[in-house]
Amino acid sequence: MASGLIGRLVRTKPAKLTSTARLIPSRCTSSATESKPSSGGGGRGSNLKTFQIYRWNPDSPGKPELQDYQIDLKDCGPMVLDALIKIKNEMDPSLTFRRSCREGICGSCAMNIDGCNGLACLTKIEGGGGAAKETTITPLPHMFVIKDLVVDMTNFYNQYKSIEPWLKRKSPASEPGKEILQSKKDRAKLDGMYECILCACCSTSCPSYWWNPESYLGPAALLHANRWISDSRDEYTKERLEAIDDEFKLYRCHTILNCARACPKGLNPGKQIAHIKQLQR
Amino acid sequence: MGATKLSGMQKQVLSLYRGFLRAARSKPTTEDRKRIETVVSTEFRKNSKEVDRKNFQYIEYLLRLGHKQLDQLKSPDMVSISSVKIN
Repeated sequence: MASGLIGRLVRTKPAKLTSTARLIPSRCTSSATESKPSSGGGGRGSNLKTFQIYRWNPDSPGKPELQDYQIDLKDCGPMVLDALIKIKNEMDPSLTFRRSCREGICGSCAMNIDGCNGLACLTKIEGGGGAAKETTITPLPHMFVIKDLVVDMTNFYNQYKSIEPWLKRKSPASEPGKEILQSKKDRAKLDGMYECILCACCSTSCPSYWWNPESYLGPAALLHANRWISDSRDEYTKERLEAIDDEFKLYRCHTILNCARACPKGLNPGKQIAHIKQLQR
Repeated sequence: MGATKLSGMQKQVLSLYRGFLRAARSKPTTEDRKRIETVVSTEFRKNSKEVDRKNFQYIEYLLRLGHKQLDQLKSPDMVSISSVKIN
């Protein structure tokens, strides 16, 4: 198809490029004018890596499969997201995945890479060396799959909505129309909770959440619940604590602490859940 | 109909179908109602013939999709539902 035509054009270029000319093709990675990932050893000592990616298309119903793709790591950026984009641009445009910021702040590209949940834009490709020559990429575990690596996050978002993540006050502000003041110490209590980007890496790594996704709120929602409980400006602390003081909503947590391990932002939801449990007593 | 017991999945599909028909009845004009009913019935009948009974993953996917569409249809602003095939 079109890639074949462009392939022929590439071969008419001079074989050896100067260092400056070499930089330009590698920058426009969106077009397919780069040399194709060499199939079966290429020139200039290519570093091939196999990616096994979970594929399932709802339109052509069949069983989900792991499909292999070979990528030359010398032509690719360092992160897994770069590899996925390269595969989608050059090899298989039907590969479907979510992505947005490419810098680890939006949380769209959360997926399971080599068994660990993480953001594709922040996970480096484990390249070179004899060890693991194959990287397995699957969607977030125990979530319903919409297509390929895209999962259904509605349950996760509904749980976040259910804890009412907004400021609630009973008395009006001391200065109407102005900010409600908060001391530095009180603001410091929110550190480690406000940075959450709702990527769902923690909740989908929790075995307790796997077995009770509809009733257990999950580490992410509980982290945010604690964020609002600990906020000094919020006056509904008692009601918030009572709302989650439930056998299933909160106490399905058995401090497995997979959540702290999986969080790509380095947060510790388990610690925040322990804080809520302490307040409940 | 069949005297044999319906499986749990079949019951879910039937309750979704009933939900769509009930949502259609709540729409203002009879034209809207008929349009929704025809679209929904053709979609369900087509899938019942084409989709393998044992393909649980695909059936569950369709059920989830259907529930989301039903929730959208229930809101009073929605007038009709249609499907377009892109090849």
